[in-house]
Amino acid sequence: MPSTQEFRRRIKSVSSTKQITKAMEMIASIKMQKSVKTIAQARAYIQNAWNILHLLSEKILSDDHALINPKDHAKKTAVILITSDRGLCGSYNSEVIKKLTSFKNVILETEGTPTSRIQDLDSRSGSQPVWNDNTIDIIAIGKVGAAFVNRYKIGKLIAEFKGFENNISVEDVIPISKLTNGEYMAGNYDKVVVIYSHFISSLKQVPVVKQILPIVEDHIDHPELWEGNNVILEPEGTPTSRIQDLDSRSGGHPVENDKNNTEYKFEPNPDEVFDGVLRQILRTQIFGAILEANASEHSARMVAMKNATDNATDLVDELKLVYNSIRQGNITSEIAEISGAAEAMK
Amino acid sequence: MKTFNLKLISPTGIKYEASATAAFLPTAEGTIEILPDHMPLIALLSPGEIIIKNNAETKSLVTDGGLVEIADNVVKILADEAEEAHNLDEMKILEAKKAAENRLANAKDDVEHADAAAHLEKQLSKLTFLKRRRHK
Repeated sequence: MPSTQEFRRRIKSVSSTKQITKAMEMIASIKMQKSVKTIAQARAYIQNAWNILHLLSEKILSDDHALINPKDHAKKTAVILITSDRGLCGSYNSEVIKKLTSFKNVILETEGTPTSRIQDLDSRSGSQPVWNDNTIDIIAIGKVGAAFVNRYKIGKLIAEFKGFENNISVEDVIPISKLTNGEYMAGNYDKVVVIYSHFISSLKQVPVVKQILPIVEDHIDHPELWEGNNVILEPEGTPTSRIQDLDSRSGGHPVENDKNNTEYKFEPNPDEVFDGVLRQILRTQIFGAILEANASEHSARMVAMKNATDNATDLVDELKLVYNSIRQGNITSEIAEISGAAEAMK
Repeated sequence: MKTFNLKLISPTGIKYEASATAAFLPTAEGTIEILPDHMPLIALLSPGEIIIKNNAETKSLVTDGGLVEIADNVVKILADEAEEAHNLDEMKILEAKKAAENRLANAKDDVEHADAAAHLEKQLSKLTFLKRRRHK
């Protein structure tokens, strides 16, 4: 006689798992709504910071600021990799990490590997590719990314930040922007990019590579250019447009024409203001990327937990069916035994 | 009375969007007063207090620094942070100040040192702001 005990235990355990996933789903959904709201609020700020930069770039045209035009820099890229601190969020982290590896491959291809191909193949141990350790340095935001970089030696991990998944303010980003800015100005990198998951909707997040230094403006910064349209987030490796180019491309750009004739006074002086604006843009770029990543993380977790809850429901249904039929079978055979015995007693 | 439009934008949303009769902004070279028909100006803000006056109403906020753009009687302030005075919690600021002081003492390199010093300066500006308000 098969035992119902084991099935009862399994049903109980699956149902309690289901309760947990259901709760996590609801928490993630609330957090997602919050982060989406934060993004909306931050967009006005980011947009206005860009507007002032446009205005300035028309007024002073000091194109040779180091944050826009790199000079004599080492051929090295720093990557800010934004992942989550915790797991249970579906393919969120692996998508971002996949983007990192493909980004690195693109760099290796376009710049040529220092060793010859054949040697490269020989040194390849097993299925794991051996990375040239000097191409990229990584600043990891989030534990998962940092652990991955450490394990597979994708690049040198120069800093690790965590605890960015909930409410963050621009102030929290300042150490990161100071670090990148300092290293960049010192000439250690010729490019700094952020790799993160861009939030499009609660069902769709796209991992993107976004260049933040030297400062360029691309279509990720313009929601009107990607919302609704097919999202063509910039293909990596291609040079992105310079600030001035964009005015002509995006028709209704918010730099009003009548302002072009206004003579501005700058305080303390034009160069310092320009410098300040560029720094502010850098900060808001990193801040914006983290906000997008947070919204993506929470929605990825919400979807993953919803799937888990649905699976658990199906599993409980199936187990219940089996459990009931076993129980019924047991009862039937018991009755048969009793009536058989009663028959034999006659 | 003549007025101008003032918009105070921070990363956590638009904090003020209305007309105003005067505004006092902290810059590196001291506090500047903005009145209607101010000349076009782009200036960097330093940590301090933003005071917005609309006739009899006065509103004051603490900022961490940012930017201001003035043109055609429209004043746009982009502040990294703007907190209204009554939202400030003295205990919290004191705690943050202590943390910053600790970090300053234990800083291992220049970057950390500069970061902690900047943090401390911000908390101090918030504190002086609170003190000044209490004396009023």
